[in-house]
Amino acid sequence: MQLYSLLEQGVVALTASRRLAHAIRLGFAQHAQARGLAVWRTPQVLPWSTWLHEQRLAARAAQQRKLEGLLTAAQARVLWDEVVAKSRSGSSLLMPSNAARLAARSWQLLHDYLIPLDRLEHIDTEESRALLEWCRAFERRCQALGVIDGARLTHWLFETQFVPEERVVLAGFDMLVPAVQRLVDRWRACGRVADAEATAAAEGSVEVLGAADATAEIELAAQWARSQLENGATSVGVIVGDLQSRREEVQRVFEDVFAPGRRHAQAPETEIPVVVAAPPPLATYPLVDAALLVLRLATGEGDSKLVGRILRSPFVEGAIAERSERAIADQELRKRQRDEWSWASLERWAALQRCNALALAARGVVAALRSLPRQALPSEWAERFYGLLALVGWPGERTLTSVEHQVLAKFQDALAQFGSLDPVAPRLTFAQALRRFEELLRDTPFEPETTGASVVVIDATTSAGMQFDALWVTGLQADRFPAPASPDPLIPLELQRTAGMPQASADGSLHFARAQLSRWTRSAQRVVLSWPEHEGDAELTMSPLLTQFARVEPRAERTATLRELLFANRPQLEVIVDDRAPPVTSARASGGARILELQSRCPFRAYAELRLEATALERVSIGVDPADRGGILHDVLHEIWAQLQTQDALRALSDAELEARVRDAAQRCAMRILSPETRLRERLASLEIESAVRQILTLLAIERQRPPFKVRFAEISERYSIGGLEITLRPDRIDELNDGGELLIDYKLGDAHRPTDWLDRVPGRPRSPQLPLYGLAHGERLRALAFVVLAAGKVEYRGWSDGANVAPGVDAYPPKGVKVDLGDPMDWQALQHQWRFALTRLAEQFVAGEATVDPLRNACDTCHLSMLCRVHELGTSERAEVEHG
Amino acid sequence: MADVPADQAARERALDPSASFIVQAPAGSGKTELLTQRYLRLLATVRAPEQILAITFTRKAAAEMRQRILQSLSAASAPPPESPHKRTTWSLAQAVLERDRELGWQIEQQPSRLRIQTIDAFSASLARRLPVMAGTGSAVEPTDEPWPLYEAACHQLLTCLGDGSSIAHHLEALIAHLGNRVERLIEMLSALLAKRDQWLHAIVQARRDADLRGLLEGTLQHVVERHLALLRDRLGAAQTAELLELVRFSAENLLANGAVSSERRAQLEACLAMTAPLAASVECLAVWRAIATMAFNKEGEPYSKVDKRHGFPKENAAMKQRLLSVLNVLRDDADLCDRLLDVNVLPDPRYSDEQWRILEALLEILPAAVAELQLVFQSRMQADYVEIALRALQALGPATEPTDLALAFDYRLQHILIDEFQDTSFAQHELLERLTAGWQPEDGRTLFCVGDPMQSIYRFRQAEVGLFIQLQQQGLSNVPLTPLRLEANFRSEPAIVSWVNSVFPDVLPKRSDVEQGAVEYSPSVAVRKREGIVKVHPLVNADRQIEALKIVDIVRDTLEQDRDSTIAILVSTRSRVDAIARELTRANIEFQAVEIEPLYERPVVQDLIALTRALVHLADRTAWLSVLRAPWCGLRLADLHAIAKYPAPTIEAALQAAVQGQIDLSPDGQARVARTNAVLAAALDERGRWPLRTWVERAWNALGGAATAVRAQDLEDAETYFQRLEGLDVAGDLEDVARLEEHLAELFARPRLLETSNVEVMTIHAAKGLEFDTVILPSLDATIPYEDRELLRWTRLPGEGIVLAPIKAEGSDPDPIYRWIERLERRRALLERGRLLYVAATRAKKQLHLLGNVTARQDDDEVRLSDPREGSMLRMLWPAVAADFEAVKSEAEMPSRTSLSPPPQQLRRLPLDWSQPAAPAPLVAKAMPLVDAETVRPVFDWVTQTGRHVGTLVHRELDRALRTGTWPTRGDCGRLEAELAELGVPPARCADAAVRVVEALGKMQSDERGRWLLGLTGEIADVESELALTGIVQGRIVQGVIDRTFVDTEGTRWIVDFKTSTHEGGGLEKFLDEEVIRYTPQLKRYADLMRLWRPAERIRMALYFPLLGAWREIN
Ligand code: SF4
Repeated sequence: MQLYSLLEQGVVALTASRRLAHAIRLGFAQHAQARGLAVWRTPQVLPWSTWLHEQRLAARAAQQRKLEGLLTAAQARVLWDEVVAKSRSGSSLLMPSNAARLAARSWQLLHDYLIPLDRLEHIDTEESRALLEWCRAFERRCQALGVIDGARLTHWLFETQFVPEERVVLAGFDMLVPAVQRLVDRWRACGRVADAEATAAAEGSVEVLGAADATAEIELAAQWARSQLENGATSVGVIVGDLQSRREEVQRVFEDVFAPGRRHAQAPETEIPVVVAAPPPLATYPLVDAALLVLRLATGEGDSKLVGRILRSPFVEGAIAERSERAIADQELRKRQRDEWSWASLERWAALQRCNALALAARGVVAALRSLPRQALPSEWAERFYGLLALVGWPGERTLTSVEHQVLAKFQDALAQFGSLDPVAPRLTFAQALRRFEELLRDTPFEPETTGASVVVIDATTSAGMQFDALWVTGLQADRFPAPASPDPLIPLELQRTAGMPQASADGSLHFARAQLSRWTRSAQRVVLSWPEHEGDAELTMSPLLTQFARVEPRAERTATLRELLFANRPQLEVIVDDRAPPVTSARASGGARILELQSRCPFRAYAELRLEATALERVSIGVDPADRGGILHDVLHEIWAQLQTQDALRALSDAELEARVRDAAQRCAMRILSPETRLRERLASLEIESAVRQILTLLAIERQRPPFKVRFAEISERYSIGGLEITLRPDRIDELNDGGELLIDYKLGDAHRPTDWLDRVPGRPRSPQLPLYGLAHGERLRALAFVVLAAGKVEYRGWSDGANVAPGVDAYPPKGVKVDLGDPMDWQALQHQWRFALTRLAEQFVAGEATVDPLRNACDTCHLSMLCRVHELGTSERAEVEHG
Repeated sequence: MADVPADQAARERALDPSASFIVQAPAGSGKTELLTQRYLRLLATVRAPEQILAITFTRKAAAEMRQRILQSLSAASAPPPESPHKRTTWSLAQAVLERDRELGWQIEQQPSRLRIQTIDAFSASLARRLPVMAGTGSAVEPTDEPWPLYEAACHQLLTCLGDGSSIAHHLEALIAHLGNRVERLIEMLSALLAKRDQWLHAIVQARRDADLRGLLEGTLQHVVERHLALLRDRLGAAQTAELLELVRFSAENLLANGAVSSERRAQLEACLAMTAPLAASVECLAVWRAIATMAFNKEGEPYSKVDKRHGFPKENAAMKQRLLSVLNVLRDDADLCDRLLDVNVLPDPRYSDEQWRILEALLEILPAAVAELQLVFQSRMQADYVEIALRALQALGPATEPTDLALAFDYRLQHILIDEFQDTSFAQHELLERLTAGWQPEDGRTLFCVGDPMQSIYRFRQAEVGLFIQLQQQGLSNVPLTPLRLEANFRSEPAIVSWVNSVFPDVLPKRSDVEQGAVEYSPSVAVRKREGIVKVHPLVNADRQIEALKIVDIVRDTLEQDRDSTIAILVSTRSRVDAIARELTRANIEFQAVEIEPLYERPVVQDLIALTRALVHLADRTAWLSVLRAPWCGLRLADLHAIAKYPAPTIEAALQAAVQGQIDLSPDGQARVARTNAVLAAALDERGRWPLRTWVERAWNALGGAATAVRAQDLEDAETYFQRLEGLDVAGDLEDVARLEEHLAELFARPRLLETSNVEVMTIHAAKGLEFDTVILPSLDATIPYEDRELLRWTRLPGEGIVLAPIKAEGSDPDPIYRWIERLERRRALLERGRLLYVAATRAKKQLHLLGNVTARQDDDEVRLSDPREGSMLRMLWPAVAADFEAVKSEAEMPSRTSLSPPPQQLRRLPLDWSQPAAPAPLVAKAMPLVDAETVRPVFDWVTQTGRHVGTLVHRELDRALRTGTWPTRGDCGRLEAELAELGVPPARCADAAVRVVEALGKMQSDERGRWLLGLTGEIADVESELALTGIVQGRIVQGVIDRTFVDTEGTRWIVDFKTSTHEGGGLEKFLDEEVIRYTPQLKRYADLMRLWRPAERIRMALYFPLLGAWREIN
């Protein structure tokens, strides 16, 4: 008799999977409709495990005695974790929780195949010893709790001589494991098992085809599925082996085939008649993820990334209205390099950054956190978690979509499930509870309801027992089908073999593959079997089991994706030249000498960075920012010289006194600039102080050796007009030389700075025009310019003079390496002349708004603007420069 | 190929299934065929195919080999082929088929039984099959992105700073040592973690020694002495003695003359003190150095003249003559010279205290970092390839007590074949040693290693070519290997083979050397008959563009002669490709750039990055401005300026002002802003509703992104980017926007799937294993970029311990040990470069073109070529090709300082009037869904939750009671509590809830309404409980389970739903009203179903609240 007729007679169908139960109910509905019914008794179709559970409940109620409880899957999971983590062999494992899963699976297999635990005792491998240890511990725990778990259920039924009241029919079992088989045998003997005839669908057409690669294969299947529907099919199956890991790709390909135009931000919402039966973990849904962010911050151990994400999350109170403020708040915290966060600090920060709604919500959370117990049972935490979420207005003010609604409901279920861990979990701290809960969310697959999918994409195992109008099976390459043997790693191989586990041996998996194949070819009128011909650059071959079927070529025509369609219909693009910005209107530009430096390196960069203020988001790093390091050195030196004023004063100080002063200044400056908040940062700051002291003392030792000088302090910030631009100059230091005139000094942190950068290797474009600009401003008084390099292990003067003896490393111009014969200025005079000319032009160009994309060599390496300037677009090449000898 | 190859004997021997071999197989010698034959031969001897393990270098190679074997097997069912060569394979396969039949293998049905896999796959299978032995606990899927894990481990490690531990103390020392650059430390530590398989074992072992410093210095001393011993051997006893005498003579003279530096004086005095024959010991190092100083000038060449400045006054002509004759001998032996010169850089086998302090710190820190890494793996449930390799080793057990793999793998491993053996690393070598640990000489197990040390080019993946040489010489600990050598070249035409034969003996070192990874040349014999071409194209003072144009010429000519010929342009570094790609495009030559153009720089990707960053972060100003400048919007600078200047916190906010006309824009700009903003606003509304890539892609499509692409490859590049984005997705968001670009750094544009073109541009590494009709080698003058500084340098010499040297302090001079290792590494790198050239040249079947550039100067009347730079391939070839360059030097242009300003940049943008094409109609869901009638959901708290479960149980118990007639009592509470607990009610609430269940049922029995409902009063008929119906209501399939339904005495059909709600305090009426509103839709649906089920009956609906004793009818 056919399955549906059996169902009509009230026979209970027991299925291998929940999904199959659903499919059978749906099929029955179609069957009933086809018979002209408008209403009917819902047939009893249940997953085998659910039914078993119900039978047990019934038995318990009937017998009126207190049976052991039944562990839920989540509870069992916790127990296995605990058992493995606490065991001798499990405690040192890299992935103990994976091992716990394996153990649970092996335990299930042992029960399924009726292998008594004792059998493990005589086998001496690490694996079987560990398994035995874990299983015994699990048994003990279950006993202590007075429970049994799902794996034991079939055994229990058998031992209690259970026979069901109703007649049952089994659906979708490719093969029955012995533990079930013996039950079924017994029930059959009592006449309680009905057998459904194989559907007559058999003998449809079977075709075999090779696709270029796995992606192309899915695409072909999707195209085919679409055309099947268009030609009247109502149920189409597509089997994909590694569906779980390819879910997103598969989903995308089907969307592109079924609704190509809808991959578009402005397209109306569409639901395609396809369900990809590989639910992702609940934890990956943005709504749930946002909840976890909120809770994680409540542990008090948030970092900048976590807070950044909360600031951008649409699922928090006020997210839409305060979006700009919150974005800016994230930008600012990056600038401040703040990396330690809690709700309390976020509250203060939000208030400071004018994110009022957030600040208010945070205040609520902070108050609630104060009243949290140190330890509590999971059920209490579940309520607390929800309470905290409610305080931040989660899930936000947007109207929820239907998917979000379902996710929300499922999240609540998960909380409830978490609460049901009370019996197996001890009292936990907030952080522990959160970790467990996150695990549970990762372990909870969730698939939003779809309205009537006619196409099911499904993996091979779950497809067992399903009937379709048309079926496509992918991934049948030689090395996957038949699958290589994959025995259970923990159960000794010989036990598996004697018990007849199919996956344990090559013969078994060949056998299994043949059975699968014949089921597939009989489960639909039209069947296509396919394999990918390539994987990366490796060539694959067809499974040898397919040779019996007719080969066909893949169809050539296909629906273009929106992307391809746009490309195919691309217009002739407009081409304009647009490298001049509006001129600078106010002569006072901010940016100081950096204006000219940027203008010289690349005019566009000067424009974008200084006038459009195209900043980059900073990264929060642990180490001390080079800018801060520079700031410390700079400030300390400033302070020291402000006190000393002259080299004489420096010489007059004893070494000890000098060191004390430097150290004192360094300490203050470092604390002011770095304001370390954490222990780690404090230590780094003190290392920074040490190195600053070292470098500065080295420098001061050099200063002592120089010919006498005074440091000029008054009006160190000066205004200077050049090329229509009024620039504020702030040289790091101006030394008045004993024999008249001045030395201009720029402190540099890195070792890379060389005076030759003051020359132009590309005419009119010196790399570092800063000091030359200061020099120009000082006109006649200028005797020398120098970088003072303050790098670890290297502290020295590097500069040029008009011949004055200023300091070691400051050479009279032209020094070695300058190529007068190749056009470098002849002497000090000419040098100044060249600077005046070049810098004036650069200033004029900036004022005029000249913004061409014209970088000096390597200038792009340290620039963040390539997306804006589009330098990569036409292969714009950098300026070639003649290298220094 | 009809002739018998010259190396036929070796090829036959290699098939002996009872012996182990290591086969050197030069390029084109058909090693895959040989491997296949041996595999077949072995198959015919084993009990199960699983007993043979073949390891290949890539998955591609594994697939190929499997394919070949299967093909051979299927060909074996056909009659034997003509060619004797193919006949060998045929008969081998025949034997396998027979065996298969005999033992019932069914290999052809189940090719996955052939264990042919990469070493990574093999390691992974060990962890999968032996999860406890391996200590992983389960199979481990290695991530392709391990860097974040390393960084996380380092960050974690750093958090101990300030806790007073010794690790913290050492870390601080290290940080200060590096000039306080913490980020750099993290980078360098990460780099070390990435290759911990190379040092971990050695360091852990060394640390067990009580005298760690002594141990390490001992190894160093050993290495130095080994070097000296080799040197002495090469010199021979006589020459050594002669040199000693000469140096003593010169020392005497020099010291007598005075005026030598103190360092030199010490050396010379050591010479005088030296009486015994010169030993290869560190004590004599000073003497050896003095000898080197005596013999070589600053350029490292033997002196051609000596005088009293060298300690050889002219008075003593005889001594002088003796020295000169020794020097003459040296001059002819470059290798020996190098060795002797090396004594100058050989380090003293002692660490300075400062160096030791840092090394000690590192040796403490590194294991701690590894421990942190393990924790990171654990918490993120991820691991890297290295971990898997390490775990595989662990799974195999110690060499003294190897794991019995037969238990895990079913069959005893009988034979191992390894391809590409020249690229084996120390870690893999260790794996091999462990795999063969229990092997006995005559137990029939064999090992077969094939490779070509001349093609070892994977140092950057820790390949250690010295191991090949060592195995050739000594075999494995338990497995003696017979070396075999192939000679026949089936690939290249004779001209190429003979050019290679004539040039490469000089490019490659004269003799092999395990320590330096030097491999001498091994000649080939051409099998092919047609001629072939090798051509040098000399360039002088040319830039890259000129070279590129030349290449275009060659390609064009070649294609003209033969349109179907395959051409490969092989470069040694990616940076040299730009110009070539540009000129090929300009010349309209179709080509494929294989993984060579950085994805990040592709304009389409740059636009996508901007879009991604803008959507993810509203304050990313650069990204937002870029989105407005990108071709889909194409705002002019003037309009961009106006928007940027508008006083709004973000550009996004400014755009809102702009679309409301509050910013003065050009009309064109206004329209463009409106168009773009509409899309961006729609996209921002979707935040958190799509996977990241979908979100960005939807916006990109809406903007018309693909319509701004230039070539089809752009779409491919976009796809590659999207795929990367998929990997970075955290719940539809990015972890850190500011790091997006970092994650794109190592990606390259991929050629379109299966689209082939005759012309390919790729790196030499990528060409390994391939062949082409014509091979063009451009930019032979390019030098190797310096390798990065490493925190810790080490060198492991085959058969020795590890030598370690920490990085020098920031800003100080490198120390001798570090420098020596660096030098050694550099020499190895240089030697590898020679091999890289060999690989490149031997890809060619018919034509080989070599291009390189040298600079020339006008020196008075003459044009002088400068030698190609050290380290370039051209330098290596120079003796062979210099003449070609000399011939053209007079035509070269001389350099000058000029600079042309670039052509103005053109901004491309979508025309304003462009509109998107219509997409084909979608096929949307229309099939009838199953709708569940229950849809209402409460919020989360335990009161509500418990209430729900109480409801469930009440239904369950009621159903049972009605069927069996027995009603639960207080005595059932224990059972009910258990059931409630199983439903998920917290234990503390179960007791109360159970009482409520009993109470509810009790009330029903006592309550008048309840008694009526339950039929206890006998006034109702046609009763059903839990009636499950499915039906079609307004085109939808609806199902529902009706708690209770019956017909009353008046013939009315009742639908009653039980609600076990409780209610505390006042306002009961209001509460009940709300409940009615809440459940009305549900009951209506039941009614719909019922109308279909009992069309004739009048229907009334009600909610019954047993605990409240309330009853509400619904209208
Ligand atoms: S990336 Fe290069 S071209 Fe673009 S602005 Fe920066 S420096 Fe100029």
